[in-house]
Amino acid sequence: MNCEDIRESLLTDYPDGQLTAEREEDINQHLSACVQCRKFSDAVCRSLVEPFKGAKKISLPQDKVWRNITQRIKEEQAPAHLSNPFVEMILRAREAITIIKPAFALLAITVITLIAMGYFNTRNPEVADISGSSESDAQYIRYVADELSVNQSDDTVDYGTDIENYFL
Amino acid sequence: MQDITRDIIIRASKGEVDAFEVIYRKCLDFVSNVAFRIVNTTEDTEEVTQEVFLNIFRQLNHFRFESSLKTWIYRITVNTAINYSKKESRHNYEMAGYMEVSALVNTDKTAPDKISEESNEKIIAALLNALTPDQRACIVLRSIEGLSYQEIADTLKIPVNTVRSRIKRARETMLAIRKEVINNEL
Ligand SMILES: [Zn+2]
Repeated sequence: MNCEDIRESLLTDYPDGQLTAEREEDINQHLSACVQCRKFSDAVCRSLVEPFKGAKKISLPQDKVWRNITQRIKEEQAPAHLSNPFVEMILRAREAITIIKPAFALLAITVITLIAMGYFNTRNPEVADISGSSESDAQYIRYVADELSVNQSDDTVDYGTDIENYFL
Repeated sequence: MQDITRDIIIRASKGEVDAFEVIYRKCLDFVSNVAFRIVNTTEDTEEVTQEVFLNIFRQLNHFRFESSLKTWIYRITVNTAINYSKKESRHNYEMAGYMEVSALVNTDKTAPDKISEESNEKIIAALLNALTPDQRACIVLRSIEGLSYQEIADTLKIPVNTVRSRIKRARETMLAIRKEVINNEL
């Protein structure tokens, strides 16, 4: 056994007591015969192993740390939206949509009615013809507008729901 | 550790805080000490320790009784502390640590047998500071906690030879730092 063969053991298993009795005995024999390895081994023990044996133990304030831990556990066990900023944001957006929904619906009905009136006046020759008679014209337009209002009003509600679905 | 019954572990794994408190009280000492040595600064120890116990509480339902509870808790402690110290790595501190140990090396020459606890703590901090978090974990578990190479391998889920090579490289690095002392002695 030469010095190179045992250098790794002198840095690891030997000072850490991880060797078989047989292998440890071999190394002890080499150390008793080799001054260089003995000095190396002593230095490893004194400089790299012994200091850790004297490591002081810290002790944390047990009750205080426990209070903090249980506080965090409580936060995590609470309903998700109370602690999750992302969910909170979605809920706020949803609330906003609910509030603006009637106003949005009314605006949509108005716009669509106006577009419908314009469309029938310019594009539909039948409507254009009817528009010659003022009474039936007004009736027809009112009828179409009512139809559209009902449909569009439903669509608007669906539109809002779609946004909600998309977010959630 | 032995008096933490299977029943307590199961109850804690189902979210019973009272049962978890039993585990906390039994393990706080070794958890906080391992966490302290791996992050290597006292100021962060409390925060990391809290994080370790929250991770234990969250993951306890994955504990399968294949290893001992202590080994499993060591693993969570080491992983949590390593992640923390990787996030919070302080480059400035490394040089400060090196300077400190160089200064201490000179003190050692004059009074090698009389190392106060305070200066021993500085030596430990400086030596650990020179290591990678993975090496540090092996040295802490071996030299401070007294685990065998096999126990470290089980804790970190790595082969025993990897434990040995990390300890070897860690000690070579620490030797380089304390070279002056060694040279003086040889
Ligand atoms: Zn030799």
